[in-house]
Amino acid sequence: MWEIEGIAASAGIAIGQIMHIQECTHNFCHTVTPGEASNEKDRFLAAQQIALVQLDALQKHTATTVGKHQGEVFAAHKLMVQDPSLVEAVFDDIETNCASAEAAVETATQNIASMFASLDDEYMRERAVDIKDIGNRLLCILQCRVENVKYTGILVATDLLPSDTASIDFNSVSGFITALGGKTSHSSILARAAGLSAVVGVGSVIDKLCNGDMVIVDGHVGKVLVNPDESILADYRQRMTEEKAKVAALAKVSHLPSITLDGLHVEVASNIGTPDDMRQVLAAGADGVGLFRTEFLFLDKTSVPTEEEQFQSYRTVLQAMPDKKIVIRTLDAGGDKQLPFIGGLVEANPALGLRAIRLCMVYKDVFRTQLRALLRAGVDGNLHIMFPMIATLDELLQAKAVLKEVSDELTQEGITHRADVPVGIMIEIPSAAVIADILVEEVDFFSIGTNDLVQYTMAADRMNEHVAWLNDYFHPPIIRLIANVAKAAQKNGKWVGMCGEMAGDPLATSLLVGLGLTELSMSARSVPTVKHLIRQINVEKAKEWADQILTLRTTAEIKQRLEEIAAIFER
Amino acid sequence: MELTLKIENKAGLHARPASLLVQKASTFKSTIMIIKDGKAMNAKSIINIMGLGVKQGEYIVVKIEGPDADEAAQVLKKLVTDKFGEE
Repeated sequence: MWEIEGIAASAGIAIGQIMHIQECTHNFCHTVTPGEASNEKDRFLAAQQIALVQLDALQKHTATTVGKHQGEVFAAHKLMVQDPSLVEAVFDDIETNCASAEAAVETATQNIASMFASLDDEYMRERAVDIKDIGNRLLCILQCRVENVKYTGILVATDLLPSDTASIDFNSVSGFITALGGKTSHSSILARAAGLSAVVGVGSVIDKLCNGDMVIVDGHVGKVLVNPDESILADYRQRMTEEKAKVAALAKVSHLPSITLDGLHVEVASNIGTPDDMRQVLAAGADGVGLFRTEFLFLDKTSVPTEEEQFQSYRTVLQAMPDKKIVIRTLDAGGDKQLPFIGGLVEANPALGLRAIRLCMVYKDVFRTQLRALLRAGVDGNLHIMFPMIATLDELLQAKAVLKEVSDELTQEGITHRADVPVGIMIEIPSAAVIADILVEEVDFFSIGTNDLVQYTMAADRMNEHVAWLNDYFHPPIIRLIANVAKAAQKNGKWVGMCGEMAGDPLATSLLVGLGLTELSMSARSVPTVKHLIRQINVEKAKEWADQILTLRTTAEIKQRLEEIAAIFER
Repeated sequence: MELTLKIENKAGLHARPASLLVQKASTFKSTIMIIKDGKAMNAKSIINIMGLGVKQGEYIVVKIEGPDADEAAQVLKKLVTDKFGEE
């Protein structure tokens, strides 16, 4: 047995036989006779067309199986395949050196790749991989090589090219090892998205691996064990089985309701950023959407998205889960998310500046358009509208007044819409948490956004590593603010949820339930774990614990107590 | 016609902004060159544009010659000043 050290790119353990990814052969004819030059150009152009069709298919496939963003890599590839400088270099080589189309493609893409590799920017250097991928693709097409080899087990490659990762069936592959690459390379990103274990950047040692070698890929620590002894293998098999069993067991029961031992239904919802995310939300068995951030509709645009465009997006999400609660937050821009069409507003403290609801009340047309789209889409599901960054009662009343105006306007115009959409607010500014008892009379629900609530309560920029210790939601003041908000809501018969990081932290679950929250919204990945915990909670007991935690004086004491409580539950 | 523009989006001329620039530039008949540090590159080539390695805060000169130069200048200027719709 021997070991390979590398970079832990994607966690998890995989055991299996290795399989090298086939790379293109390079034994082709390098030169042609001058008379064949025009034929070689035609061959290149034909290969270019086939490549475009393949890339188009890859882009669509990746967009649906992995994510829209990952698919965009291939949009860039399409531009590269047609790039005038590539075409020029290839044609030039064919004309002046009588190069074959294969040789010309190889030379041109190698030259461009080394140009990228020489740039003083890690991201740009990684782009050398993209151009090599283009070169490989064109070479394979020119040599009529068949795509779609069936890969299984643990894949080994110099570097997984984007098109490799997209054409691999992730269900039959359990992990991979690459010679090159770092945490930011395509292969690492895709491995994490697909939940495969991966060790990258191991170097030329991959040449010593033979197809069929048995390996253990430990993606937790970045280690590969080659032809391990039976005892070690057994050990890892055990660990892997346990890990898999836990995930599978939780996934299996994930669709069951999250009801506490004493019969309280605590909704476990999911946060989403685009309608595409609904696929994962449905798969995770979430009870709806607790936070739909609508910024994606605005941030990529140079002009305000139209009412129709927004309406379609909101409707897509609502129709995906017609019987579940869908909380859509109105535009939370400004601060660190500047809108191109509003222009650069120079502020000394953007986090404390004109953002979210404050910005919407200034740019009322943008706000009204969004509200119109929301009310129209509301007909198609259980829509809840949520205003971000409310600090005072006046702001809430003004926002509600605009909503009313918009609703009346739609009625006058005879446009179908839902007028009685429940309205709530994010509790993310300490002032709102303090006057929760005043605000509660004007809302249908509260949702606590812990990320900003912590930053504002502790006066610590959440992006500033120098004050990172203050950015912790287990500080006593945060717990007390949450308790205050929950108390006000319960007293008035309104529900209170949470959509910040804390909601998905298993350590916090019993505390939040004990404080009186009845909805927790998190990333889809955390849903099965949190649901599992809720099913083991006794609310009366959790209340007692929460009351006691409210008396603790430091973060360390609170965390220690929560660890003790967590030990009671099966994770 | 020449324009001097400052690249203000965080990522500089990375893949996505470069793609947008190339896509826009390709819609015009005019010859469009991007010049940085004395290197002049074809604005219709993503490889060339990315190869310039333009970072946030750096200036580029856009040189446009042809029948639709005015319109091209307007469109490209807007794209850059809008930070390609990024941060």
